[in-house]
Amino acid sequence: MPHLLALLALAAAWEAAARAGWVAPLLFPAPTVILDWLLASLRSGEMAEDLAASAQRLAMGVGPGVGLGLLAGLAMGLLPRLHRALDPVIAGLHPMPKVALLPLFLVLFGFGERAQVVPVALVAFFPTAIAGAVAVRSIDPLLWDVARNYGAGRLMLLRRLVLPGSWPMLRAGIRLSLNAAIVVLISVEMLTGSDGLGGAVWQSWQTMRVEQLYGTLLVVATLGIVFNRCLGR
Amino acid sequence: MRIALSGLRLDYPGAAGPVRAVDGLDLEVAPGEFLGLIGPSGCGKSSVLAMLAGLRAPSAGSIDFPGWTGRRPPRRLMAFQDHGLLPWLSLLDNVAFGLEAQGVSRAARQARAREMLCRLGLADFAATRPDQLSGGMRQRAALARLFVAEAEAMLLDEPFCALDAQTRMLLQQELLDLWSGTGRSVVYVTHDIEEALLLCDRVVVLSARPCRVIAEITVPFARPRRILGRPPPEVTELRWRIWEMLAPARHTDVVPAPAPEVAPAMAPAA
Repeated sequence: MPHLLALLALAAAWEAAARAGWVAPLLFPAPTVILDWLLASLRSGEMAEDLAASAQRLAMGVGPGVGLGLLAGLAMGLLPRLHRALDPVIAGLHPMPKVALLPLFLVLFGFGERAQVVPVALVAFFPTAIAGAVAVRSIDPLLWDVARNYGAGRLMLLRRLVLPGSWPMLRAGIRLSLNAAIVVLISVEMLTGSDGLGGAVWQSWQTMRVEQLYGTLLVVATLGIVFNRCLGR
Repeated sequence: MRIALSGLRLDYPGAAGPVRAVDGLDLEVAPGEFLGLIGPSGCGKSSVLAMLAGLRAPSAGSIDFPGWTGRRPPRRLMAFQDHGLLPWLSLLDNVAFGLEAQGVSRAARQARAREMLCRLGLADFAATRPDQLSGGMRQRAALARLFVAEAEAMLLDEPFCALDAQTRMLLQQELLDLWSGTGRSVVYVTHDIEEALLLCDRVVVLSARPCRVIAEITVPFARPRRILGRPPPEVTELRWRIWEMLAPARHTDVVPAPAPEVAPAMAPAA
């Protein structure tokens, strides 16, 4: 509740500043103007189309990216040799800006969905993989001893020890993956000028409809909040 | 089940080459015996237990189970200094953990775990997570997990060392009550001389690292025993005997408890 009140207070201050002419309306339109555009966009179905296009790309990218990241992370956590072999590779590839490879993906996959989804999948892979590996290695060694001593088989180890033991850190990794994936998706959609939320952001700059920019970013922020809420705190 | 340790040695890598933790340990645990291992801190007692549990491979020597004819190796379950309960599982699931690993059906293992929780006064906490319990309750739950699972031998590594004196005495008594009649062999590691004398049939005194046997002392007290009663006068004498044996250990932290003012004979439980 307090954070909602703070947000409302900020919006009210912004509204007052915009109405009093203290801020340039071209750069900072009043929140009510943004809200008007957003409601109109929702009514016309324009926002729903963009949201659906972006959500579909996000799912297509995040699904395999996080899924493979999860598998790679758990495998690295469980197999020290694999961790030693893959860790330097991941350390080198993770900081590489995936958007910089977009031209390569466009050449490889053409101006289609795949070229936009691959960078999203790549960026979603790394945080989950890194978090997964660290999470498994952070499980209390005593609990490993207990499980082994009591004769837990591989499946039971996975179900009773590895997954629940690594979940808090793994969840943080998945949250980071999702957030990074949203950022990259918006960037890719802006660069390719396609539909989706990124396309709407790009279009708003091209036409100087700044309320569209803020309105779309508000939807992106809401998307982030919903995803992170789904994964718990 | 009989356990025979022969020439057991354990080296582990150190900064300046291998460090010998256990050096040629020969020991035998009789079927149904409650054996105590006592020695200074860091002498390798826990390493011996880890090797006995199969959690660590010895560098040399052997651990055998003479007379064991089972298809699988005998189960040697361990209780640790820390309770080792899985924090994300309820107390019931923690207690049933060993049975689950042993393939017992969900209904059967939960019924047995519930029965054990009842016996130990933890029935109301079956659905509780370990972090919501006191240290004594957690260690009691660890005992429940140990006893509810099928095992031929039990290995206890200073399970009560982090508890207050009153809780420790209560749990020592509960341990003896649970163990009596099970026929399970027990190896109990402690650095508390009095605890070793009150619980064990035989106490093996170990040297400072590398761990070797200094002496074996048969404890002359009848069973069943009452921990909560006053200790018999022989405890004082044996305690100082063991204390003297441990004196040469350079880094010892083994401290005998103060001698009681009055020491009437330990009465067997009614």
